[in-house]
Amino acid sequence: MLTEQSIFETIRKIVATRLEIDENRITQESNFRNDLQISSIVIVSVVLAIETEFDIEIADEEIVSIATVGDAVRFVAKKLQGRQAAAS
Amino acid sequence: MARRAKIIGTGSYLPPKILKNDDLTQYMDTSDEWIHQRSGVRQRHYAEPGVYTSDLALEASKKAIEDAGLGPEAIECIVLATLSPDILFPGTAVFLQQKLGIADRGCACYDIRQQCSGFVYGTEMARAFIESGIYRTVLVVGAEIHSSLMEYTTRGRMVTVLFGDAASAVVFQAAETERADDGIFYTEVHADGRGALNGVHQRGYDISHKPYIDYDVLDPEKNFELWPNMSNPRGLYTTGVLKMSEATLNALAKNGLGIDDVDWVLAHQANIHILKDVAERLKIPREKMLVNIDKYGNTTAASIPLLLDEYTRAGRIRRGHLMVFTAFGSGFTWGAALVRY
Repeated sequence: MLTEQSIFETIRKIVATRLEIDENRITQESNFRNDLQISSIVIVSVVLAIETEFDIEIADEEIVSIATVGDAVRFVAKKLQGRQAAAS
Repeated sequence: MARRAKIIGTGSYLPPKILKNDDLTQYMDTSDEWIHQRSGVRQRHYAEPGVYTSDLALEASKKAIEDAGLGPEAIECIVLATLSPDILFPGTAVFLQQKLGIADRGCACYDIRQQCSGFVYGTEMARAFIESGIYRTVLVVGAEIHSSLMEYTTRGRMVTVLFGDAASAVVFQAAETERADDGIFYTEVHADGRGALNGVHQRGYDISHKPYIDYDVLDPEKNFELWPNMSNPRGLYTTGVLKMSEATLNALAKNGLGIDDVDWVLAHQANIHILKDVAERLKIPREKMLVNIDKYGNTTAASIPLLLDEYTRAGRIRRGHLMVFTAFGSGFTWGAALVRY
């Protein structure tokens, strides 16, 4: 099972690559819109990369509930937990 | 020896009027930064009123035919890809044929309607016609005048800011080649009609209406369907990235090739972020993914031949180089072609 720290590192890398910024500028508290000023199209790119990396699906209405990088980390962790619970 | 369709000439035409991003602010709430951040586009070319898609196609075709060292009479078949035909019917290829001065010779004329994938579909047609021996010399043209089809309001900005007018043409000719992987040596094209109205489309003409045009151009409520509609931007983006990557990797695998064998990827220029995502999935350095969307915007069927013409004339794409053409567009339609220049 992936730890929240390793999920964070993966998401941080995905976001940093797309925004072409240093990874260290991104924390769990970074707000996608206010701090990172990410545009809606780059959010789509980030979501697609997260879906591929963790092999999960994220619905449009779920994206709306994610405001910070930490929200995204916890969202992915929950999805992975849910999948593991369903498999066992 | 293998019979293959080789590229023997390329040519492009951009109408002279340039619209910078800032020029669009007079019509809609936008800015250079807003457009560039979302799309990578800085400017686009617009055709003047009175200019037809076939006029742009003519200029591009003349250059391609000249580059091939031929005269127009050598063309045995015209395949013209466009989503912005001169008129509803007949197709635009016959107008181009007539403007090239070869109408009396009666060569075959096809119009194809695969939007952003039009040139990849056209490449497959050129390959099929040439390898089968039906024709020896085929002109494939992508030509578009989007500027007349756009809504110049804030409501329309998501689509309007992306597109530009252009034409680009390629002359393919049969050659007996030493190696099997020469010229166009592999193509695959696909469609999924579930995306027909679930992506980007334009209904302005609707045959179920009686009469077929049913709008009031001055009524913003009623004229909504007149303009391009991007109903599912996320679906379009995601499917585009996945399908172009998948078709490219499949094409290479089927031919026993790896991504490292590829010199250049010529992907449809829809959005800079899509190009970056495809490059990441293909695991290629960004410089192998050719880009010119900043200068021309999305030119639909013209975008891949425009890249091809620009980079061959600049000496970047050279004889022997392996290229992948890949595109995804309205329909949904998509595909990939492997072409050794």
